[in-house]
Amino acid sequence: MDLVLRSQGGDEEAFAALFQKHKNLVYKTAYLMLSDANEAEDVLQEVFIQVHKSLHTFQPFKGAFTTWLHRITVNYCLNRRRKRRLPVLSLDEISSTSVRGSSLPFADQLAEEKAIHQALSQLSHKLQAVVILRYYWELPYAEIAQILDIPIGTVKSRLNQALKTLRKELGALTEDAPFPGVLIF
Amino acid sequence: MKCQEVSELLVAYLDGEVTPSERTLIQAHLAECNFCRKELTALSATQRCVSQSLQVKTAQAAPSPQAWSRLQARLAGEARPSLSWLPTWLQRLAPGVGRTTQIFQGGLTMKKGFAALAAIALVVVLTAGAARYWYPQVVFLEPIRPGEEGWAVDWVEPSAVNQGDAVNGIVRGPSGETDYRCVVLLEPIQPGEQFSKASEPVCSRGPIDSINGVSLDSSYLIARFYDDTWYRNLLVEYYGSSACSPTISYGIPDLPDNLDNKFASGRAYSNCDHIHVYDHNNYGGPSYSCGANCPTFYALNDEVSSWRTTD
Repeated sequence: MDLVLRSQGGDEEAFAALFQKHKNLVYKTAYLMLSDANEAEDVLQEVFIQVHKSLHTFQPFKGAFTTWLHRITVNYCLNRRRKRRLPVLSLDEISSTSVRGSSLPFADQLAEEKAIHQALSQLSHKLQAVVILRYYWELPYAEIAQILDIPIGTVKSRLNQALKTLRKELGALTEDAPFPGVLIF
Repeated sequence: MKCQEVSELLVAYLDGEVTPSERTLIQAHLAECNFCRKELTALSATQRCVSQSLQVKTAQAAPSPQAWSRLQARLAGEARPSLSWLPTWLQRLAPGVGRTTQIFQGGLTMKKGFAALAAIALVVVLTAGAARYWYPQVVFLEPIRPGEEGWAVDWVEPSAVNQGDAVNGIVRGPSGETDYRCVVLLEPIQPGEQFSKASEPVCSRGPIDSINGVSLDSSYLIARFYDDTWYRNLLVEYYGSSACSPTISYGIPDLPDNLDNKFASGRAYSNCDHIHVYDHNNYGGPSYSCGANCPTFYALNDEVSSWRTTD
């Protein structure tokens, strides 16, 4: 039987499996939105406590479990950021990684990464949320709309606004970047 | 299609989220327009950068191996006897596993440093007195210092209020908005009261001409609030039975969940020449005041929980 259904029926083993299956979804979203591993760990706990409490209210015919989980996670992160006014995407954490597939020297990769993270951190909470849901989780607009409880048109306008802001901020990084296959005629 | 229209759709086009007819029109435009082709290329590169950057950031991010055991302990703690015999405010201070720090970091606003110290003493007393219900726990709390989140925030003095904006004049009758939004009918704040009585919201796409049988024809548009800055994405329109005056003002002390922490800009009408927005319910916490046209609430964007408008 489906893990969600079994968990709704009080099967604790199924709930444990549900946690293992979806913990990365919650943790990584929280990590991207709060930019702090300890905060993300706390959010993971709080979200699954919430899921455990209100799993009986989840109605599969209204949408996927992951949509519901994303919704709880994003709302929790937004509230946490409102309360604590955390910085987003701290620059200190970037030094240990590099842009995959980039042909740039390491120092340039790092500078590029920092520029992108800085640009992302300038976006409002709302714009960051749509960017993460779309360009990290690659969710369709309709699902993002469901998660954030906004019309699809608003998802569209927020992504448009976010991408154009980022494009302006990143300037040279995107102006000259060749990207084969962009133009489809 | 003109460049402006195409520009609004380019991101959705790249994401495969336009309709077939839009796609055809966009492609026809791109075939002719070098400027929009460049724009498309740049936006596509931006998407790629952002996507890669987010992937890199989370490449090594993973929950701790103890995450499940911590959760199990929390769930076991949650299942313990309830504290319903305690007054509500004491229940909020009850040191359930892992909860106390959250309350003091994010749930309570300490106006004075000594309030935190008093709370420490209270937590110690509660922990000792209720040991039969909770596991023993040592909690270290640091007092909130001046300037930190939670420290008392200065009231915005009238002299600091932005009074330069143009007023919007008397507006009566349904607005003719066609986007999805809610409309709420308000009563002016009565003498001795602090808030307006409000109707249930009516939410719809298209015209909304009456609320609970009350026609908006003779009602005054009081305020509009928007989801985004610069009056984009209308969320709610408030109507009232009278225009603002020295004795007539309106206010909502506790926005409902679907509007709480959403406003990012607003406009007031019908002699309501000032908008005041607040971080907390009941006109509490940090506040921002502006004239009749507020294209942004700055630090309070997405934070507003209550508002007032005055002449």
